[in-house]
Amino acid sequence: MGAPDFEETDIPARMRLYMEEVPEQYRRLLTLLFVFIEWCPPFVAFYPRRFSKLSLKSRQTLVRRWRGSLFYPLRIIGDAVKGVMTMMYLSHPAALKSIGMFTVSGRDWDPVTVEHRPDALVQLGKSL
Amino acid sequence: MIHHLDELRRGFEISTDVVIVGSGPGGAVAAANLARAGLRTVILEAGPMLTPTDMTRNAPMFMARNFWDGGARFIAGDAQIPSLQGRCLGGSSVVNSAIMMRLPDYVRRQWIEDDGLDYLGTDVLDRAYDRVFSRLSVAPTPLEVQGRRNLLVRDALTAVGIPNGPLPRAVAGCEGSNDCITGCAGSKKQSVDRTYVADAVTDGAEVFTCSQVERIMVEGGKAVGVAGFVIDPKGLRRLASFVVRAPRVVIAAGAAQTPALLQYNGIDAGGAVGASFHAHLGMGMLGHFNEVVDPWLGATQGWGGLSADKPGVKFEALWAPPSLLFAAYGDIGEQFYTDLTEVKHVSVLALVYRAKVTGSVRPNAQGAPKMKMYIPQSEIRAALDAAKIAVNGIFEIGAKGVTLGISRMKKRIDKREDALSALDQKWAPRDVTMTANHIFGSVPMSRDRRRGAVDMEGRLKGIENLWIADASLFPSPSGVNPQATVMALSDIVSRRMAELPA
Repeated sequence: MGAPDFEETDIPARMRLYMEEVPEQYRRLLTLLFVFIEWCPPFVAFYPRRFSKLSLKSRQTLVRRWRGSLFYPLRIIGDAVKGVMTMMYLSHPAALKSIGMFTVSGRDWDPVTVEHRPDALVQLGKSL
Repeated sequence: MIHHLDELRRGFEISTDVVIVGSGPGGAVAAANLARAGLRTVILEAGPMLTPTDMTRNAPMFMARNFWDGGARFIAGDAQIPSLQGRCLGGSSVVNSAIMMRLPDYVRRQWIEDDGLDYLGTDVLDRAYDRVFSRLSVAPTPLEVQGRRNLLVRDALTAVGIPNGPLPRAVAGCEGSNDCITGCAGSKKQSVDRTYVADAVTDGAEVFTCSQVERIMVEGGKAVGVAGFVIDPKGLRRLASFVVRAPRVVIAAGAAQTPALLQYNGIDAGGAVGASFHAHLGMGMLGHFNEVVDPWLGATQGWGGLSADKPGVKFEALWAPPSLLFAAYGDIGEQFYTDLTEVKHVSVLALVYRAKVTGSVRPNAQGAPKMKMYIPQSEIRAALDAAKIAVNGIFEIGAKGVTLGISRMKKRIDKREDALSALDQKWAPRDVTMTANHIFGSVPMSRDRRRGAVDMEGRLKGIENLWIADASLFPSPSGVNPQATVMALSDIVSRRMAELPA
């Protein structure tokens, strides 16, 4: 679909940087979350492998199932992993470019570069 | 003078006339008034001072650095409700949409009749609003920076008969860059670090950033100062200790931090501190349109309206960095990628509901606030009924679908009747995607002997020389964005402290 994948958006390395910035108790919680998700499939879903060794379809099924679970802690886990991965993905310039995002205000210093269209609001005003 | 981390690494110990804990909207106004009155004023802020180059569109990274709990603060209870609070010089005024609205008449009447805030019936409050609005250049958001997203919300509210208009904001020369949440790098937002804190510094106030208060010093029933630690904003490590002695102590650390700090120091005003706590429940929905909306274009929250039929419900346009919006509303896998191709066709209509629910704030073992709130089904029902009005508005102006933000159901719904039917179902609080960024009432100002923790002068009951000047003071939810009223109440309290004309 033209959107960048996890490699192009450098998710593992950027996740490590993010975890260095969050307060320590949340760093511990995030670590716990990833460890749990990696090792839980045999115990909570009777999959015989670690999460990262499952097929893409199985991984999606698992996360979807957790997010829809009536057991609230499992739902929190599903929402948390989905939420944090989405945040990492959509804060990469390539992902923002793929959705067509642009800005009227340039930030030369910002590593998250977004197409700069300073007159976009003026152009919109003319078209309305 | 503003002191930064590098010069504070060894700690400090000073004496002054007044110390203010917190540099957000409440603390900043108090500091400006007290410094103007000639008092030696010290402001202590837990977070760093931000410059434009600290502002990045990497929203999770920005939040990790500059929001309390790295942006992961929640209200617990029967759901985990995110509550975003700024942790930097200027507090949440640096990272909010700068919406400034006066207290609605029905709330003002309640505060007078139920809680004895008689001066709200005079023009004292109005004069305080006038001063604040003038200093912050508050004005309706100009049409030129609305963008299609805001204007679609205007059309949707008009279609369902909700009185609406451009939202009044503290922004001078808005560029419409839509970066309010990650800081206004163009320096157009009149956040209090750039206005009231700057005024206080001009009048001789000293500001200590990265300085988090942990202890309120009390001797013989009188507050005599505060103590705490210099904190490295990256990772929040303690670097050194500090002590500030002062015969006047003002706590303005926000509705979560303030009651936690007081209770952590054994100060509870007869049990009234932290026993009550209120929040506006925020919900949002994405409207999907055929036209290209380019939702990242225009003021973050430029248009809105208050329901005339349902007092306490405010509808407003909203946008957030896609990384945050889709963390809450997005799907996973292939559907996620499909939805991304549609983002440019989306507008967001949010509602803020003045929930009739009381929670509590208690400190944990480290003194950090633990907020709890149990939301009855009747309040969820009221919020979902308000959401039905928004759904009708969105479909009325030609949307081809909505995303409601209710878990355990299909994300996008393409028929109005299906969306209304979904909202008619019984949902638990944990099923509904909510936020609670407006929090208040945890150290309430009230003549009610059981509920009131603070007297009409802003003084905490039971301890002399200790004032409160933030959203904790509200006796009940404001029904509109609280920043203007926080600043007006702080203006009144601090003018009385400084014996300035009200």
